[in-house]
Amino acid sequence: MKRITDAARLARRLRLEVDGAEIWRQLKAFAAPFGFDHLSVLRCRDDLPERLAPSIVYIDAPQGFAEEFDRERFCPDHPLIARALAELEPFSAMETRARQLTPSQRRVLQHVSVSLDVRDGWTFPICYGGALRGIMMFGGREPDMSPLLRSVLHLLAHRAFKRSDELVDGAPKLHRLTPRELECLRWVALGKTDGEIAVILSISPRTARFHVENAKLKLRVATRVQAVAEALRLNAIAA
Amino acid sequence: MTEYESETPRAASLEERAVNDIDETIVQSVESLARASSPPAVWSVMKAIAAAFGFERMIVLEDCQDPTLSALSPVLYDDAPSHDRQDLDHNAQWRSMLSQLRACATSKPFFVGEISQAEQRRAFEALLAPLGASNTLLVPVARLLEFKGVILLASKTPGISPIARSALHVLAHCAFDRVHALEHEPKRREFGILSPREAECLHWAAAGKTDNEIGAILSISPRTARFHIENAKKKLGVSTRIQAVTEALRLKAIAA
Repeated sequence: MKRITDAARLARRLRLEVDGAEIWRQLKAFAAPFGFDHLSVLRCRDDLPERLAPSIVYIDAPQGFAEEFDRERFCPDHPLIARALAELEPFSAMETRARQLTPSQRRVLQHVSVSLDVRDGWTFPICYGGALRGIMMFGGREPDMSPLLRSVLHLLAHRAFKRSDELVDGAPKLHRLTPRELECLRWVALGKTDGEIAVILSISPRTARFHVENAKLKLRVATRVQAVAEALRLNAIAA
Repeated sequence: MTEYESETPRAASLEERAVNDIDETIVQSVESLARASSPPAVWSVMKAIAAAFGFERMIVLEDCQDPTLSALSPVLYDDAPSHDRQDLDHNAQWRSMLSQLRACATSKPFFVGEISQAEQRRAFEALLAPLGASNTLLVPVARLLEFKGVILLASKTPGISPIARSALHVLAHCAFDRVHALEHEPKRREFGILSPREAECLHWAAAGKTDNEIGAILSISPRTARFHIENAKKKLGVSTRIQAVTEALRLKAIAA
Protein backbone atom coordinates (compact mmCIF):
# COMPACT_ATOMS: atom_id res chain seq x y z
CA MET A 1 0.00 0.00 0.00
CA LYS A 2 2.82 2.37 0.89
CA ARG A 3 4.37 2.11 -2.55
CA ILE A 4 1.00 2.61 -4.23
CA THR A 5 0.29 5.79 -2.26
CA ASP A 6 3.85 6.95 -3.04
CA ALA A 7 3.12 6.31 -6.70
CA ALA A 8 -0.14 8.28 -6.49
CA ARG A 9 1.75 11.20 -4.97
CA LEU A 10 4.34 11.04 -7.74
CA ALA A 11 1.56 10.95 -10.33
CA ARG A 12 0.15 14.16 -8.83
CA ARG A 13 3.51 15.88 -9.05
CA LEU A 14 4.08 14.69 -12.63
CA ARG A 15 0.77 16.17 -13.73
CA LEU A 16 1.98 19.69 -13.00
CA GLU A 17 5.68 19.27 -13.77
CA VAL A 18 6.89 21.93 -16.20
CA ASP A 19 10.41 20.62 -16.77
CA GLY A 20 10.69 17.66 -19.18
CA ALA A 21 14.00 16.37 -17.78
CA GLU A 22 12.59 16.47 -14.25
CA ILE A 23 9.77 14.08 -15.29
CA TRP A 24 12.27 11.36 -16.19
CA ARG A 25 14.44 12.06 -13.15
CA GLN A 26 11.50 11.59 -10.79
CA LEU A 27 10.28 8.48 -12.58
CA LYS A 28 13.74 6.93 -12.36
CA ALA A 29 14.02 7.84 -8.68
CA PHE A 30 10.81 5.88 -8.06
CA ALA A 31 11.91 2.81 -10.06
CA ALA A 32 15.56 2.63 -8.91
CA PRO A 33 14.88 1.06 -5.46
CA PHE A 34 13.25 -1.88 -7.27
CA GLY A 35 16.38 -2.51 -9.35
CA PHE A 36 15.32 -0.65 -12.49
CA ASP A 37 18.38 1.50 -13.28
CA HIS A 38 17.71 1.89 -16.94
CA LEU A 39 15.02 3.93 -18.68
CA SER A 40 14.43 4.48 -22.40
CA VAL A 41 11.66 6.65 -23.75
CA LEU A 42 10.86 6.58 -27.44
CA ARG A 43 8.30 8.73 -29.21
CA CYS A 44 6.68 6.92 -32.13
CA ARG A 45 7.59 8.30 -35.53
CA ASP A 46 6.98 6.86 -38.96
CA ASP A 47 10.66 5.89 -39.28
CA LEU A 48 10.83 4.10 -35.90
CA PRO A 49 11.07 0.56 -37.19
CA GLU A 50 14.00 1.69 -39.36
CA ARG A 51 15.94 4.15 -37.22
CA LEU A 52 16.17 4.54 -33.48
CA ALA A 53 18.03 7.81 -32.86
CA PRO A 54 15.37 10.28 -34.08
CA SER A 55 12.74 8.73 -31.79
CA ILE A 56 14.69 8.92 -28.56
CA VAL A 57 13.23 11.25 -25.94
CA TYR A 58 15.36 9.92 -23.10
CA ILE A 59 17.81 7.05 -22.82
CA ASP A 60 20.37 5.84 -20.27
CA ALA A 61 23.02 4.70 -22.71
CA PRO A 62 26.71 5.29 -23.32
CA GLN A 63 27.67 8.03 -25.76
CA GLY A 64 27.19 6.99 -29.37
CA PHE A 65 24.94 4.01 -28.57
CA ALA A 66 22.02 5.14 -30.73
CA GLU A 67 24.27 6.21 -33.62
CA GLU A 68 26.03 2.86 -33.65
CA PHE A 69 22.65 1.15 -33.40
CA ASP A 70 21.42 2.94 -36.51
CA ARG A 71 24.71 2.48 -38.40
CA GLU A 72 24.48 -1.29 -37.90
CA ARG A 73 20.80 -1.20 -38.92
CA PHE A 74 19.78 -3.00 -35.71
CA CYS A 75 16.43 -1.34 -35.33
CA PRO A 76 14.29 -3.53 -37.65
CA ASP A 77 15.58 -6.57 -35.74
CA HIS A 78 15.07 -5.23 -32.22
CA PRO A 79 12.52 -7.74 -30.87
CA LEU A 80 11.25 -5.51 -28.05
CA ILE A 81 10.52 -2.58 -30.36
CA ALA A 82 8.91 -4.86 -32.94
CA ARG A 83 6.69 -6.38 -30.28
CA ALA A 84 5.74 -3.00 -28.78
CA LEU A 85 4.68 -1.80 -32.23
CA ALA A 86 2.48 -4.87 -32.71
CA GLU A 87 0.99 -5.48 -29.25
CA LEU A 88 -0.58 -3.15 -26.71
CA GLU A 89 -0.05 -5.07 -23.47
CA PRO A 90 3.20 -4.55 -21.53
CA PHE A 91 5.63 -7.46 -21.70
CA SER A 92 8.92 -8.54 -20.13
CA ALA A 93 12.30 -8.92 -21.83
CA MET A 94 12.82 -12.41 -20.39
CA GLU A 95 9.53 -13.64 -21.77
CA THR A 96 10.36 -12.17 -25.20
CA ARG A 97 13.73 -13.91 -25.15
CA ALA A 98 11.95 -17.23 -24.56
CA ARG A 99 10.00 -16.78 -27.79
CA GLN A 100 11.01 -17.94 -31.22
CA LEU A 101 13.50 -15.31 -32.35
CA THR A 102 15.56 -15.17 -35.52
CA PRO A 103 19.35 -15.35 -35.08
CA SER A 104 19.71 -11.67 -35.94
CA GLN A 105 17.02 -10.71 -33.40
CA ARG A 106 18.94 -12.69 -30.78
CA ARG A 107 22.12 -10.88 -31.72
CA VAL A 108 20.49 -7.45 -31.36
CA LEU A 109 18.96 -8.33 -27.99
CA GLN A 110 22.34 -9.61 -26.79
CA HIS A 111 24.07 -6.43 -27.99
CA VAL A 112 21.54 -4.19 -26.24
CA SER A 113 21.65 -6.14 -23.00
CA VAL A 114 25.48 -6.04 -22.90
CA SER A 115 25.93 -2.39 -23.82
CA LEU A 116 23.19 -1.16 -21.45
CA ASP A 117 23.98 -3.71 -18.72
CA VAL A 118 20.34 -4.80 -18.58
CA ARG A 119 19.16 -8.40 -18.10
CA ASP A 120 15.43 -8.06 -17.67
CA GLY A 121 12.74 -5.40 -17.57
CA TRP A 122 9.36 -4.23 -18.79
CA THR A 123 8.42 -2.66 -22.11
CA PHE A 124 5.34 -0.46 -22.01
CA PRO A 125 3.65 0.53 -25.26
CA ILE A 126 2.06 3.92 -24.48
CA CYS A 127 -1.34 4.38 -26.14
CA TYR A 128 -3.90 7.11 -25.83
CA GLY A 129 -6.28 8.96 -28.08
CA GLY A 130 -6.63 5.73 -30.06
CA ALA A 131 -3.01 5.54 -31.21
CA LEU A 132 0.36 4.21 -30.12
CA ARG A 133 2.26 7.31 -28.98
CA GLY A 134 5.46 5.93 -27.59
CA ILE A 135 7.41 3.09 -26.04
CA MET A 136 8.93 3.14 -22.58
CA MET A 137 11.37 0.54 -21.28
CA PHE A 138 12.46 0.01 -17.70
CA GLY A 139 15.38 -2.37 -17.24
CA GLY A 140 17.98 -3.53 -14.77
CA ARG A 141 20.41 -6.26 -13.86
CA GLU A 142 18.05 -7.99 -11.43
CA PRO A 143 14.89 -5.92 -11.18
CA ASP A 144 11.78 -6.78 -9.14
CA MET A 145 9.53 -8.23 -11.84
CA SER A 146 6.38 -8.67 -9.72
CA PRO A 147 3.16 -8.17 -11.71
CA LEU A 148 1.81 -5.61 -9.23
CA LEU A 149 4.89 -3.43 -9.66
CA ARG A 150 4.47 -3.87 -13.41
CA SER A 151 1.00 -2.34 -13.16
CA VAL A 152 2.21 0.51 -10.94
CA LEU A 153 5.06 1.33 -13.35
CA HIS A 154 2.66 1.06 -16.29
CA LEU A 155 0.36 3.70 -14.81
CA LEU A 156 3.28 6.01 -13.93
CA ALA A 157 4.89 5.57 -17.35
CA HIS A 158 1.59 6.45 -19.00
CA ARG A 159 1.18 9.59 -16.91
CA ALA A 160 4.81 10.68 -17.36
CA PHE A 161 4.77 10.19 -21.13
CA LYS A 162 1.50 12.05 -21.51
CA ARG A 163 2.80 14.98 -19.49
CA SER A 164 6.03 15.10 -21.47
CA ASP A 165 3.99 15.07 -24.68
CA GLU A 166 1.87 17.99 -23.44
CA LEU A 167 5.03 19.98 -22.72
CA VAL A 168 6.36 19.31 -26.24
CA ASP A 169 3.08 20.28 -27.88
CA GLY A 170 2.97 23.37 -25.71
CA ALA A 171 -0.80 23.11 -25.36
CA PRO A 172 -1.65 23.14 -21.64
CA LYS A 173 1.84 24.20 -20.63
CA LEU A 174 1.65 25.58 -17.13
CA HIS A 175 3.95 27.89 -15.31
CA ARG A 176 4.56 28.22 -11.66
CA LEU A 177 2.17 30.43 -9.72
CA THR A 178 3.13 34.10 -9.55
CA PRO A 179 3.75 35.77 -6.17
CA ARG A 180 0.46 37.66 -6.51
CA GLU A 181 -1.50 34.50 -7.25
CA LEU A 182 0.07 32.80 -4.24
CA GLU A 183 -0.78 35.80 -2.07
CA CYS A 184 -4.43 35.72 -3.15
CA LEU A 185 -4.64 31.94 -2.65
CA ARG A 186 -3.23 32.29 0.84
CA TRP A 187 -6.04 34.68 1.74
CA VAL A 188 -8.62 32.44 0.10
CA ALA A 189 -7.32 29.60 2.28
CA LEU A 190 -8.03 31.79 5.31
CA GLY A 191 -11.66 32.13 4.25
CA LYS A 192 -11.51 35.64 2.78
CA THR A 193 -13.84 36.70 -0.01
CA ASP A 194 -12.72 38.52 -3.17
CA GLY A 195 -13.92 41.79 -1.64
CA GLU A 196 -11.90 41.26 1.54
CA ILE A 197 -8.78 40.22 -0.36
CA ALA A 198 -9.13 43.38 -2.47
CA VAL A 199 -9.12 45.57 0.63
CA ILE A 200 -6.17 43.71 2.17
CA LEU A 201 -4.02 43.90 -0.97
CA SER A 202 -5.31 47.31 -2.11
CA ILE A 203 -6.49 45.99 -5.47
CA SER A 204 -9.93 45.78 -7.00
CA PRO A 205 -12.15 42.75 -6.23
CA ARG A 206 -12.11 41.89 -9.93
CA THR A 207 -8.31 41.77 -9.91
CA ALA A 208 -8.34 39.49 -6.87
CA ARG A 209 -10.77 37.25 -8.70
CA PHE A 210 -8.57 37.36 -11.80
CA HIS A 211 -5.53 36.12 -9.84
CA VAL A 212 -7.51 33.30 -8.22
CA GLU A 213 -8.98 32.23 -11.56
CA ASN A 214 -5.49 32.15 -13.11
CA ALA A 215 -4.24 30.05 -10.22
CA LYS A 216 -7.14 27.63 -10.81
CA LEU A 217 -6.18 27.29 -14.47
CA LYS A 218 -2.53 26.69 -13.64
CA LEU A 219 -3.42 24.08 -11.02
CA ARG A 220 -5.93 22.52 -13.45
CA VAL A 221 -8.81 22.49 -10.99
CA ALA A 222 -12.46 23.44 -11.23
CA THR A 223 -13.21 25.10 -7.89
CA ARG A 224 -11.60 27.43 -5.36
CA VAL A 225 -11.70 24.79 -2.63
CA GLN A 226 -9.83 22.43 -4.91
CA ALA A 227 -7.27 25.13 -5.77
CA VAL A 228 -6.48 25.66 -2.09
CA ALA A 229 -6.26 21.91 -1.45
CA GLU A 230 -3.97 21.40 -4.44
CA ALA A 231 -1.72 24.35 -3.51
CA LEU A 232 -1.38 23.00 0.03
CA ARG A 233 -0.57 19.54 -1.25
CA LEU A 234 2.13 20.92 -3.51
CA ASN A 235 3.45 23.06 -0.64
CA ALA A 236 2.92 26.11 -2.83
CA ILE A 237 1.28 27.84 0.14
CA ALA A 238 1.95 27.14 3.80
CA ALA A 239 -0.65 25.17 5.74
CA MET B 1 -17.47 35.47 -20.27
CA THR B 2 -13.69 35.85 -20.13
CA GLU B 3 -11.29 33.68 -22.00
CA TYR B 4 -10.23 32.14 -18.71
CA GLU B 5 -13.67 31.08 -17.61
CA SER B 6 -14.36 29.37 -20.91
CA GLU B 7 -11.22 27.27 -20.47
CA THR B 8 -12.05 26.18 -16.95
CA PRO B 9 -12.47 22.40 -16.99
CA ARG B 10 -16.09 21.44 -16.47
CA ALA B 11 -16.95 18.93 -13.80
CA ALA B 12 -17.27 15.64 -15.63
CA SER B 13 -18.87 12.42 -14.53
CA LEU B 14 -16.60 9.58 -13.44
CA GLU B 15 -17.37 7.72 -16.67
CA GLU B 16 -16.37 10.66 -18.86
CA ARG B 17 -13.27 11.27 -16.82
CA ALA B 18 -12.20 7.65 -16.86
CA VAL B 19 -11.92 8.00 -20.62
CA ASN B 20 -10.62 11.57 -20.84
CA ASP B 21 -8.29 11.68 -17.91
CA ILE B 22 -7.69 8.13 -16.86
CA ASP B 23 -4.59 9.10 -14.87
CA GLU B 24 -6.44 11.59 -12.68
CA THR B 25 -9.28 9.12 -12.08
CA ILE B 26 -6.79 6.53 -10.86
CA VAL B 27 -4.95 8.91 -8.55
CA GLN B 28 -8.19 10.12 -6.99
CA SER B 29 -9.41 6.56 -6.56
CA VAL B 30 -6.21 5.48 -4.79
CA GLU B 31 -6.61 8.42 -2.42
CA SER B 32 -10.25 7.77 -1.67
CA LEU B 33 -9.66 4.03 -1.15
CA ALA B 34 -6.85 4.82 1.30
CA ARG B 35 -9.27 7.00 3.29
CA ALA B 36 -12.53 5.03 3.01
CA SER B 37 -14.15 4.78 6.43
CA SER B 38 -15.59 1.24 6.28
CA PRO B 39 -15.40 -1.93 4.18
CA PRO B 40 -18.71 -1.17 2.39
CA ALA B 41 -17.33 2.28 1.55
CA VAL B 42 -14.20 0.64 0.12
CA TRP B 43 -16.25 -1.66 -2.09
CA SER B 44 -18.56 1.07 -3.30
CA VAL B 45 -15.54 3.13 -4.45
CA MET B 46 -14.15 0.04 -6.18
CA LYS B 47 -17.52 -0.64 -7.76
CA ALA B 48 -17.71 2.92 -9.12
CA ILE B 49 -14.28 2.55 -10.74
CA ALA B 50 -15.16 -0.82 -12.25
CA ALA B 51 -18.39 0.67 -13.63
CA ALA B 52 -16.39 3.51 -15.16
CA PHE B 53 -14.36 0.90 -17.07
CA GLY B 54 -17.54 -0.77 -18.34
CA PHE B 55 -18.05 -3.56 -15.80
CA GLU B 56 -21.65 -3.97 -14.71
CA ARG B 57 -21.19 -6.51 -11.97
CA MET B 58 -18.67 -6.91 -9.19
CA ILE B 59 -18.16 -9.78 -6.77
CA VAL B 60 -15.39 -9.85 -4.18
CA LEU B 61 -14.25 -13.20 -2.82
CA GLU B 62 -11.88 -13.66 0.10
CA ASP B 63 -9.65 -16.67 0.39
CA CYS B 64 -9.68 -17.84 3.97
CA GLN B 65 -7.34 -20.75 4.48
CA ASP B 66 -8.25 -21.19 8.13
CA PRO B 67 -10.28 -24.46 8.23
CA THR B 68 -12.20 -23.41 11.35
CA LEU B 69 -13.78 -20.59 9.37
CA SER B 70 -14.68 -22.68 6.35
CA ALA B 71 -18.40 -22.42 7.10
CA LEU B 72 -18.34 -18.68 6.42
CA SER B 73 -19.23 -17.38 3.01
CA PRO B 74 -16.19 -16.28 1.01
CA VAL B 75 -18.26 -13.54 -0.62
CA LEU B 76 -17.23 -10.15 0.78
CA TYR B 77 -19.28 -8.10 -1.64
CA ASP B 78 -21.83 -8.80 -4.34
CA ASP B 79 -23.70 -5.99 -6.01
CA ALA B 80 -26.53 -8.14 -7.37
CA PRO B 81 -30.00 -7.68 -5.86
CA SER B 82 -30.36 -10.24 -3.08
CA HIS B 83 -32.98 -12.39 -4.89
CA ASP B 84 -30.56 -12.84 -7.78
CA ARG B 85 -27.72 -13.95 -5.59
CA GLN B 86 -26.36 -17.39 -5.65
CA ASP B 87 -27.37 -18.99 -2.41
CA LEU B 88 -25.19 -20.71 0.12
CA ASP B 89 -24.92 -23.87 -1.97
CA HIS B 90 -22.59 -21.94 -4.16
CA ASN B 91 -20.09 -21.29 -1.41
CA ALA B 92 -18.44 -24.64 -2.09
CA GLN B 93 -18.10 -23.71 -5.76
CA TRP B 94 -16.62 -20.30 -4.96
CA ARG B 95 -14.20 -22.08 -2.63
CA SER B 96 -13.03 -24.54 -5.23
CA MET B 97 -12.52 -21.66 -7.61
CA LEU B 98 -10.47 -19.81 -4.98
CA SER B 99 -8.28 -22.84 -4.37
CA GLN B 100 -7.62 -23.13 -8.10
CA LEU B 101 -6.72 -19.45 -8.22
CA ARG B 102 -4.08 -19.78 -5.51
CA ALA B 103 -1.62 -20.89 -8.17
CA CYS B 104 -1.93 -17.54 -9.94
CA ALA B 105 -2.05 -15.41 -6.79
CA THR B 106 0.38 -12.80 -8.06
CA SER B 107 -0.55 -12.84 -11.72
CA LYS B 108 -1.91 -9.77 -13.47
CA PRO B 109 -5.70 -9.54 -14.02
CA PHE B 110 -6.93 -11.90 -16.72
CA PHE B 111 -10.17 -12.68 -18.52
CA VAL B 112 -11.64 -16.14 -18.15
CA GLY B 113 -11.32 -16.49 -21.94
CA GLU B 114 -7.56 -15.99 -21.64
CA ILE B 115 -7.00 -19.07 -19.45
CA SER B 116 -4.85 -21.40 -21.53
CA GLN B 117 -5.87 -24.68 -19.88
CA ALA B 118 -9.13 -25.65 -21.60
CA GLU B 119 -10.39 -27.74 -18.67
CA GLN B 120 -9.96 -25.00 -16.09
CA ARG B 121 -11.40 -22.41 -18.46
CA ARG B 122 -14.57 -24.45 -18.99
CA ALA B 123 -14.97 -25.02 -15.25
CA PHE B 124 -14.76 -21.27 -14.58
CA GLU B 125 -17.10 -20.50 -17.47
CA ALA B 126 -19.70 -22.91 -16.09
CA LEU B 127 -19.46 -21.39 -12.63
CA LEU B 128 -19.73 -17.83 -13.93
CA ALA B 129 -22.46 -18.50 -16.51
CA PRO B 130 -25.29 -17.41 -14.16
CA LEU B 131 -23.76 -13.92 -14.06
CA GLY B 132 -25.03 -13.47 -17.61
CA ALA B 133 -21.87 -11.73 -18.74
CA SER B 134 -19.97 -12.68 -21.84
CA ASN B 135 -16.65 -11.77 -20.31
CA THR B 136 -15.40 -11.90 -16.73
CA LEU B 137 -12.16 -10.35 -15.57
CA LEU B 138 -10.45 -12.00 -12.60
CA VAL B 139 -8.27 -9.70 -10.51
CA PRO B 140 -6.23 -11.80 -8.05
CA VAL B 141 -4.97 -10.03 -4.94
CA ALA B 142 -1.91 -11.14 -2.97
CA ARG B 143 -0.16 -9.71 0.04
CA LEU B 144 3.49 -10.69 0.54
CA LEU B 145 3.04 -13.35 -2.15
CA GLU B 146 0.15 -14.94 -0.25
CA PHE B 147 -3.18 -15.21 -2.04
CA LYS B 148 -5.83 -13.05 -0.35
CA GLY B 149 -8.78 -13.13 -2.68
CA VAL B 150 -10.12 -12.14 -6.04
CA ILE B 151 -12.36 -9.46 -7.50
CA LEU B 152 -14.62 -10.73 -10.29
CA LEU B 153 -15.71 -8.09 -12.77
CA ALA B 154 -18.33 -9.03 -15.32
CA SER B 155 -18.90 -7.15 -18.54
CA LYS B 156 -20.91 -7.63 -21.68
CA THR B 157 -18.35 -5.88 -23.85
CA PRO B 158 -15.16 -7.79 -24.58
CA GLY B 159 -11.74 -6.58 -23.51
CA ILE B 160 -10.36 -3.50 -21.81
CA SER B 161 -7.39 -1.27 -22.55
CA PRO B 162 -4.03 -2.38 -21.10
CA ILE B 163 -3.92 0.76 -18.95
CA ALA B 164 -7.37 -0.02 -17.47
CA ARG B 165 -6.16 -3.52 -16.67
CA SER B 166 -3.15 -2.15 -14.79
CA ALA B 167 -5.38 0.36 -13.00
CA LEU B 168 -7.83 -2.31 -11.79
CA HIS B 169 -4.90 -4.45 -10.66
CA VAL B 170 -3.44 -1.66 -8.51
CA LEU B 171 -6.81 -0.48 -7.18
CA ALA B 172 -7.90 -4.00 -6.20
CA HIS B 173 -4.79 -4.23 -4.02
CA CYS B 174 -5.53 -0.83 -2.48
CA ALA B 175 -9.08 -1.97 -1.68
CA PHE B 176 -8.03 -5.24 -0.01
CA ASP B 177 -5.28 -3.45 1.94
CA ARG B 178 -7.72 -0.84 3.18
CA VAL B 179 -10.26 -3.44 4.30
CA HIS B 180 -7.47 -5.36 6.03
CA ALA B 181 -6.33 -2.19 7.80
CA LEU B 182 -9.89 -1.33 8.87
CA GLU B 183 -10.43 -4.78 10.32
CA HIS B 184 -7.12 -5.03 12.12
CA GLU B 185 -6.73 -1.54 13.50
CA PRO B 186 -10.30 -0.59 14.35
CA LYS B 187 -9.24 1.20 17.51
CA ARG B 188 -6.75 3.50 15.86
CA ARG B 189 -8.07 7.02 15.64
CA GLU B 190 -6.87 7.80 12.18
CA PHE B 191 -9.04 10.80 11.64
CA GLY B 192 -8.21 12.81 14.73
CA ILE B 193 -11.03 15.07 15.73
CA LEU B 194 -13.14 14.42 12.64
CA SER B 195 -15.42 11.43 12.31
CA PRO B 196 -14.56 9.09 9.43
CA ARG B 197 -17.59 10.31 7.51
CA GLU B 198 -16.73 13.96 8.02
CA ALA B 199 -13.18 13.33 6.84
CA GLU B 200 -14.52 11.49 3.79
CA CYS B 201 -16.87 14.33 2.86
CA LEU B 202 -14.11 16.93 3.30
CA HIS B 203 -11.78 14.82 1.17
CA TRP B 204 -14.27 14.98 -1.70
CA ALA B 205 -14.90 18.69 -1.13
CA ALA B 206 -11.13 19.17 -1.45
CA ALA B 207 -11.35 17.31 -4.76
CA GLY B 208 -13.74 19.98 -6.02
CA LYS B 209 -17.01 18.09 -5.58
CA THR B 210 -20.30 19.79 -4.79
CA ASP B 211 -22.69 18.54 -2.10
CA ASN B 212 -24.72 16.82 -4.78
CA GLU B 213 -21.71 15.04 -6.21
CA ILE B 214 -20.48 13.99 -2.76
CA GLY B 215 -23.96 12.63 -2.03
CA ALA B 216 -23.87 10.57 -5.22
CA ILE B 217 -20.37 9.26 -4.53
CA LEU B 218 -21.05 8.21 -0.93
CA SER B 219 -24.64 7.10 -1.60
CA ILE B 220 -26.07 9.61 0.88
CA SER B 221 -28.34 12.59 0.34
CA PRO B 222 -26.78 15.97 -0.53
CA ARG B 223 -28.24 17.35 2.69
CA THR B 224 -26.42 14.69 4.71
CA ALA B 225 -23.17 15.50 2.91
CA ARG B 226 -23.74 19.17 3.79
CA PHE B 227 -24.52 18.21 7.39
CA HIS B 228 -21.19 16.33 7.72
CA ILE B 229 -19.25 19.26 6.29
CA GLU B 230 -21.07 21.76 8.53
CA ASN B 231 -20.18 19.62 11.55
CA ALA B 232 -16.57 19.39 10.41
CA LYS B 233 -16.52 23.19 10.11
CA LYS B 234 -17.84 23.54 13.67
CA LYS B 235 -15.29 21.07 15.03
CA LEU B 236 -12.45 22.79 13.23
CA GLY B 237 -13.67 26.19 14.42
CA VAL B 238 -13.81 27.77 10.99
CA SER B 239 -16.48 29.60 9.05
CA THR B 240 -16.00 28.53 5.42
CA ARG B 241 -15.56 25.30 3.55
CA ILE B 242 -12.23 26.42 2.12
CA GLN B 243 -10.93 27.09 5.62
CA ALA B 244 -12.17 23.67 6.70
CA VAL B 245 -10.18 22.00 3.92
CA THR B 246 -7.10 24.10 4.73
CA GLU B 247 -7.35 23.24 8.40
CA ALA B 248 -8.01 19.54 7.79
CA LEU B 249 -4.99 19.29 5.49
CA ARG B 250 -2.85 21.09 8.05
CA LEU B 251 -3.98 18.69 10.79
CA LYS B 252 -3.49 15.79 8.38
CA ALA B 253 -7.10 14.81 8.99
CA ILE B 254 -7.45 14.30 5.22
CA ALA B 255 -4.83 13.02 2.80
CA ALA B 256 -2.33 15.59 1.63
